[in-house]
Amino acid sequence: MDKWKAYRNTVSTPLIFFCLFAGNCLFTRNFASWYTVRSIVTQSTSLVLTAIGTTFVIAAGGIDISLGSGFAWNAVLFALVLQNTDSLVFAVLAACISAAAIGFINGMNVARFRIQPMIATMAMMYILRAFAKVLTNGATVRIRSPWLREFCYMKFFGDTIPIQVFLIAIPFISAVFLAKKTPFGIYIEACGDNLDASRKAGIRVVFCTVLAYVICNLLTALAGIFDAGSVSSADPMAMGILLEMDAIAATVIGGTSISGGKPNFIGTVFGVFILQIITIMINMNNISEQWSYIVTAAIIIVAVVFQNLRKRKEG
Amino acid sequence: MAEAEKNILEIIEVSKTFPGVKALDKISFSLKKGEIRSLSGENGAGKSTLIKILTGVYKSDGGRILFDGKEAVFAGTRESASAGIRAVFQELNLIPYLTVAENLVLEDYPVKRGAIDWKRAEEEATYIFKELGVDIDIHAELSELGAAAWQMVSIAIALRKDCRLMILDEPTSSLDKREVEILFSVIEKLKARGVSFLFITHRLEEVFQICDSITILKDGACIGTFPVEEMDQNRLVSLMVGRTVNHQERIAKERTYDEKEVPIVELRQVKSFPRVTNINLKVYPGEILGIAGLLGSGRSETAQIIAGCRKIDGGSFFLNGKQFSMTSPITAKKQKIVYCTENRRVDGIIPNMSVRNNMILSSAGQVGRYGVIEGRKCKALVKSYIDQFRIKTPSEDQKIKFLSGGNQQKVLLARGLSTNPKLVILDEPTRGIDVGAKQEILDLICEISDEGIGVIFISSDLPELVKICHRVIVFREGTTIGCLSGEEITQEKIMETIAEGDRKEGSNG
Repeated sequence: MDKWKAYRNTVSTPLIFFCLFAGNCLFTRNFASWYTVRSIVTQSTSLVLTAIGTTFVIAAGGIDISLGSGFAWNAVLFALVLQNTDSLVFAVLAACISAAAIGFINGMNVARFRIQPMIATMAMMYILRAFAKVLTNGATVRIRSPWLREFCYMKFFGDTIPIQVFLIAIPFISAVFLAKKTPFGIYIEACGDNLDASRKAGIRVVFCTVLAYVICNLLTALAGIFDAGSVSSADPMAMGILLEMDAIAATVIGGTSISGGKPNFIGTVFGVFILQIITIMINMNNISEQWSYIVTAAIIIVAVVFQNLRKRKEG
Repeated sequence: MAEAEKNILEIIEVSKTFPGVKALDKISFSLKKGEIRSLSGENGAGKSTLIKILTGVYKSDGGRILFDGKEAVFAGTRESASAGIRAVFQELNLIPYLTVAENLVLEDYPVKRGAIDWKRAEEEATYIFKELGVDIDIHAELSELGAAAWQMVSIAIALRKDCRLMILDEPTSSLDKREVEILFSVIEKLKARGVSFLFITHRLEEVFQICDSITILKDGACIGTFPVEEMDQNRLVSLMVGRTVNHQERIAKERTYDEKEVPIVELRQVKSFPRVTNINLKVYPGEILGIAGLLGSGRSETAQIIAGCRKIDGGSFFLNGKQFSMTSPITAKKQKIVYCTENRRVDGIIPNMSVRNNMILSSAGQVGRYGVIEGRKCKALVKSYIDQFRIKTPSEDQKIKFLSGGNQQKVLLARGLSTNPKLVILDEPTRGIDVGAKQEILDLICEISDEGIGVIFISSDLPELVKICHRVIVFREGTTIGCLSGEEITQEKIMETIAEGDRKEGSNG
């Protein structure tokens, strides 16, 4: 019994996902197939990347609601630079520098200037969306890069493993490694759990917070480039709408405490899959799309209630 | 028979078992009306469990309790309160943003025609505090008042309904000597009215000051009940801890001071707004420098200054003889200065993090290579501290919030020492820790200084200061007013110095 308790945090969210999956296999027609599995993986890639980044920031005690706007802005920037320089390298570099700068500003506002994270990133959210609109006059920017299009649809081992699997696996494994095997992981958890004690223990609190925001925004920018590359266009108005909310939802469903502390990356990844499977499930059962929002909301509330109950039991 | 009638409380072979742990094993004792009984024992001895049974939070698994001659089986605090048993705990459940009067009636408002009768509430408040002889502004918000006032309000709340047995759990932990006197006079007043007390405190002098008798618990069993005249501190501690302890013997080794020795840290006429007006202090390698003074005299603030958590508004700060600007805790860490704060629960421990991570928090960068933590090296380091400091924890992965105060403090000490510091600042390290663990920590502090590390030891517990300090600097109202060394360090001399403050302004440490 005690042994199970130790793994409870790791196993809970994947377990819920597999239950949902199994349930759907039984009750939803045409559900049980590799195609469904692949769909879940490929459709959730950009959200997984964003959510992993969000988990870092939330674990460190902050929050970033500018991610959706950043997603759109960095993709648009990428597309524009590509259009003007014809160089994928420059375009990616530009987007990364922009994302790092955004992360730096958000992090500094929160850690150094002690602005409430939600307010600081809310301002950034409006600014970035405005920039994207202004630079493009609201029009979609075409991405002419056959290489990128190929890249987004690449498959390995003879058409079975899509590249999205690696795009999910590599950041996930890196995140877990950072959290469990490096001092940075300990510092993030400490800052999120008790910022004052961390500062007094001599930890570079500002640096760690800023780094968390930078990592988050970089991951989101890469997600944006991939998303835009898949459809060969960057839409400044439609991209990333409510993305940060989904990322936060996945993080919370995954078991990371919203007030900060230990990050639960496996929970976040499967949290995204759960959100995905709800959409697919509603769709395949011909239920009106609005219900997916309601079910998602219900799951978030249930997840948080369970977290609180467990916390209270611990005392 | 007449004897038995006077007993307000009879506890007869009460037992309580939790899964895997026998918390109470056939406890028996009785309490007379108007008696002040100290309930003494280490943490884990069963005191809290007994109190919870008395107030109805737990049900006992065996034995009987007679309160005022009647069988007492309570299903909760409401029932025990109506019977006349009230407990006032360390964590006072008061609302800081409400006034004294509002807090007083929070539990049970006087009502007139469906609305709260504030006039009656205020009358009640005024009456109760007048009866207790306590001068308090019933319209003041609790957040503006000190810890003593909070304590008084809690007691007043307990007295609203007819209270015949009052249980006080560590009522003096946040009070200074003057405030403790006020509390004791209130207790004496209530005793004259026939109220009985169960008094829990880790400050042994208080037991001898106010209590009539002592019941000692150890590992769930009742060792015995003794009138206070038959006890002395050494015997009390020995019975509580289970081995002979010489409680008051001075164990500090004498340290000679060389003329040319350079202090690790020197403060000259340091000012820091608010509360710090003129600090002169030196601390040398290998010495334990005690800092004594009343609450609010600027001791913790001075510790924060040296640790880089607080800015200096005037005066000079010298590190190893050279002028230095301690800008932040990060600078302090780089200079090998470690700071264990006053309230470990607030800004010391990272509560939901494991013991292991809490321990390596400050030295995480050193436990590995290329930014990666080396599992084996880390495990070895953590294990060595757990063994050396005798930290009681089921595993290194246990969340630190589940450890007792003493063990938490040991983890924090380990955290500081793992950085190989030159100076360790300890602010009330033994607060809220039971006698056995206190002794272990004092021994650890002596070991630390024996290795050449300087220690600044802030404590409100005079016997502790006398026990281990090489020198003691006395603070008063933000100024250092005196320095005692070696043989001079006695409780009487320290209290004298605090009292005579005005004559020795700005004395050099």
